[in-house]
Amino acid sequence: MTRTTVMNRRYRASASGRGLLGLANRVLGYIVAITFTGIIGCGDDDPPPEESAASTRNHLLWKRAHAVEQDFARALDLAPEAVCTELGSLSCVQRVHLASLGGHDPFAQGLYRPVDRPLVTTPLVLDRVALAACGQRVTLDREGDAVVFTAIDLDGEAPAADSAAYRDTVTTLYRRFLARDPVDAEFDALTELLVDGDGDPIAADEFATLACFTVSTTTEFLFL
Amino acid sequence: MGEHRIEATKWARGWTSAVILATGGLGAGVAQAKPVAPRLFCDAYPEHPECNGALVTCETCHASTDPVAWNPYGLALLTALAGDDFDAGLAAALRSIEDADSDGDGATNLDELQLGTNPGRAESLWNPIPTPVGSSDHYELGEYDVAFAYRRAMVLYCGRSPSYDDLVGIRELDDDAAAARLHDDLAACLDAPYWRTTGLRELADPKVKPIKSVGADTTVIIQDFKVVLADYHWDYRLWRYLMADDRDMRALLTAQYHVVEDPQTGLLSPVEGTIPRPDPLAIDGGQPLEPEHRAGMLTTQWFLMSNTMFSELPRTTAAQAYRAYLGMDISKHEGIWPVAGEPADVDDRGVAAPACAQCHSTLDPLAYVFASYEGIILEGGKTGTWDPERPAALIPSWDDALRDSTLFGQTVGSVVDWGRAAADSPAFARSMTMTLYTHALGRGPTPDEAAAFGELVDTLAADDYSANRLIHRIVDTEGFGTP
Repeated sequence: MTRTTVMNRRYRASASGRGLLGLANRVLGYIVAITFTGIIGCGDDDPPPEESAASTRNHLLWKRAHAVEQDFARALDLAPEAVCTELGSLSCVQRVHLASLGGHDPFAQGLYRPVDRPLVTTPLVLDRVALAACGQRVTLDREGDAVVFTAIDLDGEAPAADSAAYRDTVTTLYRRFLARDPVDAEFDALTELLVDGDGDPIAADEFATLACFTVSTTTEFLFL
Repeated sequence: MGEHRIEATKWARGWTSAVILATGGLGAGVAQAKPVAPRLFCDAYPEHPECNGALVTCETCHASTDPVAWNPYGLALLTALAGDDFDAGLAAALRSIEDADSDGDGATNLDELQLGTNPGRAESLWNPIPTPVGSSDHYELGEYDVAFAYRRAMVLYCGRSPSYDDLVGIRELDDDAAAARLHDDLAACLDAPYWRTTGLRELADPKVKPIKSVGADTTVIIQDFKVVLADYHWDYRLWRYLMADDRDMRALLTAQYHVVEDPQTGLLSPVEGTIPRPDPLAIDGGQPLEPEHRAGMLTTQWFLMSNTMFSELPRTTAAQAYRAYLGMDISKHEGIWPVAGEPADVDDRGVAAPACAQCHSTLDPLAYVFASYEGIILEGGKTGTWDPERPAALIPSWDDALRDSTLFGQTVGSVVDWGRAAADSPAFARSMTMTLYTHALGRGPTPDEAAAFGELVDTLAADDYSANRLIHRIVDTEGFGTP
């Protein structure tokens, strides 16, 4: 936890840290912190999570490469080919990570069918795509007319948990990625993204990226 | 031509060995082998889920076919036969063990056969789906939910999720209106570029099996010639044309035309006659086969080039036709329908050996009529052409009078007849339904969906073999729309 905070502060102090790469690195640090907090935060005194009804059919449909790319593009108002690139030019979805995202290339790779189920690399790749796409949108919204993160000042601090700006931002992300409104428990859960490991508010752009990343990497987004 | 034939022979031997390994190598090689069993079994249990347009596999009774070993159900059947003649006594022996639970999993053999689980393997069981407890904020769990089906349908057939406004709109409608909206929007997706190009093309990939390095898009050049052995885009265009706009998909195996695409509009339209290679620097790439010898996807230059290659007897071509369009992979012991007196081993490959004969007694008779079509001929413009002298020229013991093919017990004298018989068979209806069902659900039908799947197969003829209508019906199934 301390290491994450120190790393984060170092990035804040760096001029280059205001760029997309810097933002992505800072957000990655928070992702580690959130995960760690989640692991150590479930003490015996915590109330049990609220029971939610589950499907008993155990049959989910995997949203595969093309639709993932289209959905990121539409949710974040990006061109599909700009959602995520490796080395600045190779499409993450259509070329570099196609098989991991459930696509297949019969012509050059001899893959005549996609894999039946997600690979061990699929979550890593989806994280990569989500972070790239969300980071781009945040940067674009801060540098020009905001399209997605219209309710918050991306150069300021993250909004308060009880603010309209917070609820508007979360609602926008749920509508754009999951085509529904968030429920109260989801509003509550995402407040964890507003502060760092010490409980201090984080920057608004970091919150925006984290919230976008969190919603777009839910099971609900990737499976039908 | 002579040099090509010598080279062809060398290649063919290696290729045929691979086929034997792939198809016969899994078979048994002892006197107990009973390749007629799947068909006799389906005669006894035509209602079995695997018997509607297909055949059960040897795994129903066997733990292994080479060496021969039986699972508990097979052993019980063997005991019940008590040395009786297999063909005559099988049905009675099957009935006599229906009430037993051979694999001890708590379900009787008959119950398992009706569900489609294996009565000889305890781990092959089906447990009814429990009723969901509680309610969901988003879907009607355990029952068909139009919004859930709508979300799936848009992703599958439009290539993107529905928007927030789309889903809010459909949830505000009553059930009938919501279902109508679902089908209206689905129809729009099936008419849109994503499905007509990418979606449909991907379905054909395992059937066409393209190889870019020898296709029309190759960048390989040898001695100023582009190494285009054939152009698979003809195959994809024919597939896309017939799988759209409510066309009769049986023409996949009977069409005697090809399809061109308007580069400006993307509109697909049939074109008659032979088609010369379009690129003079390419080795091949047109469709030189005379229309009267065509059988849709089975006789495109690419299909014959990539499957027959240099084989005297094109077993791989027949096996791929059987696998891709009739849904049965002989190398997996699927669709074993042996012909008496076969395999004759006309090309002296040793396929009459017991270990090989189980599969080759089905495969070789499927392949005979394909022998009149050329595989790879490097002269240009001859790959995939029809030559009635070819079999005798390549196979010394060939006798035209004895070498009709047999498909599902029916004699067929040409690939054109083969394609027509296949297109009208229950196996084709089942296979095409399975292709679209598996695409829609990411898996085949589960035992509780077997009846609904059977209805889809059975209604294909009434729907004039339209892929689009079949997709609409799949979207309406409980399996597709129940969260």
